[in-house]
Amino acid sequence: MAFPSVYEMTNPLTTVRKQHFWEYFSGATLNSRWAITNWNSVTGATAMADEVDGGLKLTTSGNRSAIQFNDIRPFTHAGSGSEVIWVAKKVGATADGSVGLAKNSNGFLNGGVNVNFDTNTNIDFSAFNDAGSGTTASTGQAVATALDWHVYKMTCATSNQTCSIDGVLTNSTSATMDSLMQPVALLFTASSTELHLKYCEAYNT
Amino acid sequence: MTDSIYDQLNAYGTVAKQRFVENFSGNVLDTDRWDFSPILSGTQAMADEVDGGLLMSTTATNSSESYIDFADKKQFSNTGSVMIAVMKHGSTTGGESYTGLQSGYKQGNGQGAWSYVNDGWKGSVFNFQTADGSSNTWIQTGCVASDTNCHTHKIELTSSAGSLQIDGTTTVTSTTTLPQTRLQPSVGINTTTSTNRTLNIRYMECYNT
Repeated sequence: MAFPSVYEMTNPLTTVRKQHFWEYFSGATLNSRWAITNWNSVTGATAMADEVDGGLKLTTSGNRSAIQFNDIRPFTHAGSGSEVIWVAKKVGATADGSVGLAKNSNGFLNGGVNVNFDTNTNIDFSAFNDAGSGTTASTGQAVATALDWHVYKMTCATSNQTCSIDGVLTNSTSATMDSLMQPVALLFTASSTELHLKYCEAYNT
Repeated sequence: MTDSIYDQLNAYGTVAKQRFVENFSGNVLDTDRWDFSPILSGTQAMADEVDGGLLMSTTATNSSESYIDFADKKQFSNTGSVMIAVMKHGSTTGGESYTGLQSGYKQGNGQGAWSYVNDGWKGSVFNFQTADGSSNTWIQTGCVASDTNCHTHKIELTSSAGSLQIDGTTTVTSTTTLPQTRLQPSVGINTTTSTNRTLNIRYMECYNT
């Protein structure tokens, strides 16, 4: 036994814990802490996958649907910033999905950081402010690898952001961030595609 | 590296006791877990602010209340349990704010142990209140001065004593009027004036020891 409490797994009791949440995407249905948003008159849906290590399936009838916190934004770029971890995979070679932290649930992921696995050559990492200014760069990891489960970890502070995939640092950027954030997972494409989510953790540092 | 959370929290070969963790994050409060009971239109909602957690509010009506518990599912032992909460009080006067473990539906009903604030009545400190069903004790000597900052409140109950620790340092102990029955988590606020009072809570963990 290493810790008497879950609290002390990440903080000593002498440190007042900041906002910190995690989600295992297990059970009968998605917890109501998450909300689904849709654009362009499409319909998004979630369902727990009835398979080993299946997690949650996110689908959309068109372009595009997301799960997020309904614009409740407890995570910040300010100070030492915040971090987010997603364990995700896409189903379908034409699937176009993103996971990260963002200000808005409007489908454009502005005001935050995200990885995008689309139909390009490589998975991209983006850091955008609220106005959409910032950077997008290749992680160097082939987008086809997103068809398997991977751990995507991103950090977001006002003037520096990072991305790691499976524990290997892929990107360091210096966009100027300006927004409070919520976790977001977004699927852009409908045709026989899914975004699977097995774990999400976000916390202020 | 230990593979499981279980092994991080329990000695090898030990059967885990009841434990829950609530991070108060997301779109809405998990009402599958929590029972919310307002009086005179008290409210609760996730706070759209950094580190805001859940925002509980009274209205500006005397005796308005907002409190959450487990709907009388009392799974925590009065003789061996711990509660840890991270919260802040919007004000320390004009009513009661508390977090702890209780047998009734709120502080002041039934038995329990709470970190309790009501400067106008019980001094300007985070009191350690215990109730055994017939009497109450509010420990004030040695307690941390109350304020509106966020703090970590830890209550531990054993068969012979209860303790309140703030921010992992200052600890006060009581051996009188300890609860004599099973308990559920307790978070609440009320107003005794025409002031809209609030509290934010962003973490709660309870476990039997």
